[in-house]
Amino acid sequence: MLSKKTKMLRLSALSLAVAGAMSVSHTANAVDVSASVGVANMYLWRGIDLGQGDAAVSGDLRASAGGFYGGVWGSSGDAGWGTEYDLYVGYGAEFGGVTVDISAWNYMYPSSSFDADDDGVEDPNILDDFGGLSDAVLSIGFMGFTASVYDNIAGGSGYEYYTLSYSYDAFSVLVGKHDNVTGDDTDQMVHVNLSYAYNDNLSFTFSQQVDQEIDDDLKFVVSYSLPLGD
Amino acid sequence: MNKWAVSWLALVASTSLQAATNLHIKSGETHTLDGKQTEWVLDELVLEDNATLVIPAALGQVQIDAVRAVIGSGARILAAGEAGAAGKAGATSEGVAEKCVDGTAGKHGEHGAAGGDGVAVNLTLRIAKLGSLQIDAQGGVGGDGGAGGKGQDAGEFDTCDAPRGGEGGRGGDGGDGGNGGHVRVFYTLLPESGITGSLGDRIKVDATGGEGGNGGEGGKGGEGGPGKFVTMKTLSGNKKWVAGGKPGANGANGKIGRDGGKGQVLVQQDLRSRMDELAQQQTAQAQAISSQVAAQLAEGQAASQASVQQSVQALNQEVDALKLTLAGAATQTMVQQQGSDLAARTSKLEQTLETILKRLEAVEKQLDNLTRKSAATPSAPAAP
Repeated sequence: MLSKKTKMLRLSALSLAVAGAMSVSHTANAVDVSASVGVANMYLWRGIDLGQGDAAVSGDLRASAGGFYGGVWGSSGDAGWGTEYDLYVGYGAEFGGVTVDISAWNYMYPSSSFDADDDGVEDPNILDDFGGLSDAVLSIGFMGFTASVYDNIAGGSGYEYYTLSYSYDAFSVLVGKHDNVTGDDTDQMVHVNLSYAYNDNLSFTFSQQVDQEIDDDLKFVVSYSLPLGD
Repeated sequence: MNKWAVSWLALVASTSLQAATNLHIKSGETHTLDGKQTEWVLDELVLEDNATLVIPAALGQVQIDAVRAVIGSGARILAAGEAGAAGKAGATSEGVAEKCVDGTAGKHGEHGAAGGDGVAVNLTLRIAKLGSLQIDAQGGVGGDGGAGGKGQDAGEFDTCDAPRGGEGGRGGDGGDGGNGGHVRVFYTLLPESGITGSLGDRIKVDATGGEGGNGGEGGKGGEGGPGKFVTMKTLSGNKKWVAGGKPGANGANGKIGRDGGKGQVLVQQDLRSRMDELAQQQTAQAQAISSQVAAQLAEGQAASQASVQQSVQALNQEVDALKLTLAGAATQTMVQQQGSDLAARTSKLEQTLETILKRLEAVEKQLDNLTRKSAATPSAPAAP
């Protein structure tokens, strides 16, 4: 089971397992459909291992056109809430070398039970209702740097998650910070991810919580992603 | 070429036919025929040892007749077709395309030009000396196809799909090889040549077709854009590696040109000269036979005339004697007896006359036969 702190983070963040959606793929006048499947030795979410050591499989199907995009992302491996699928829409564009992307995400956990206050009594389940848990995400990128803000817009109390990342060639470093409005120190956890793409399919990530730690384990993620139909 | 090494005499040219002249190429030297004249009639053609006569491919065909040919060892006649020009390489699409734009394809290479056909060479030579002669009438090789140009590298990507590199240009096809030239050598061996038999070991002809040109290499496709990390939900956090654009396909290689066909080669004695010689021999034989027949006829005619004259003379003598006998006879008996003798002699005389007439008829038939035989003797064909 997830710790209470972890559960609270996820609840207050309304499962801000958000893709920054900076990878919007679109063509000017045609709808582009893409898909991919991935597998990893764990489900790393904002510096936290949601699977408690179990491997996970994910899949993504998206359509894009003229900067607009939308799709569904699904995964196994969440030990707390079970199978997940996310619906998302967004728009990305570039202005003078600055990329801007805004998107909305709705998280669905059909098989979950919901105990918001962890009192052992199941609360009305917002996890399998459309729009129950939703985020708005804004990302701005320039010269390899990307800053992102994740904010829940439905399903929970205000909670933000910030990231600042820099990518160069096959390397990426990301610093993420949880910002829980409750003011609990443990909800201010900061982590650092260092990723390396061995090739177009195989990536490795080290993740370490560096402040307000929930745990102090160094996490090592091996993930394999395979684009389909291209 | 050292033009002074070539001796030209009586250089009188007329349109495409060269008047009687001599062509003498000294040992080791090279001479190129006039590129406008296709027919040459030479009193003497001299190719010293290792001399080379070049026949421009532009002539297409050439006829060289030499009343007397003196050819040393290692002499050559070069009449090969020209090689086809190589196709130009396709232009490369330079640099990197704009962001989110596929690279521009490289330009296609040009096709190689076809090789020229070997010159059709017709030689009529009365050979006084022949060491060895090599005739090269090969077709020209086809030109190589030009290489395809490289495709442009793909532009970068951000919110768009990763663009592809430009395709490489196709390589140009190789040009076809030229056909070998048809070579015909009609020769007459003059007695002074001392050569008997075939000239296969002395005259070598290469009339193979030219090889087709190689196809141009296809241009390399442009590089795809590099992949990069983007902000996107994954199982390993919020960064996902997205592959860059794919490289452009390499251009197809050009096809190899077809090889040219082999030219026809014919080296043989000049039958026209041989026919002339045979005709002259037959004419001489016919004339000899005719003279012999005429002499025999004259001899037979003289003998017949002499025999007739002797017979007539004897008959006249007998008639005269009979007249004398008749005039001088006294008795009837004698007359009768003499008459009987006269009748017998007359009969004998008639038989003699018949014999003479038959002999005359036989002589006439003999004369007729001889006359027909003489007329039937084949006459010599007219000299060309």
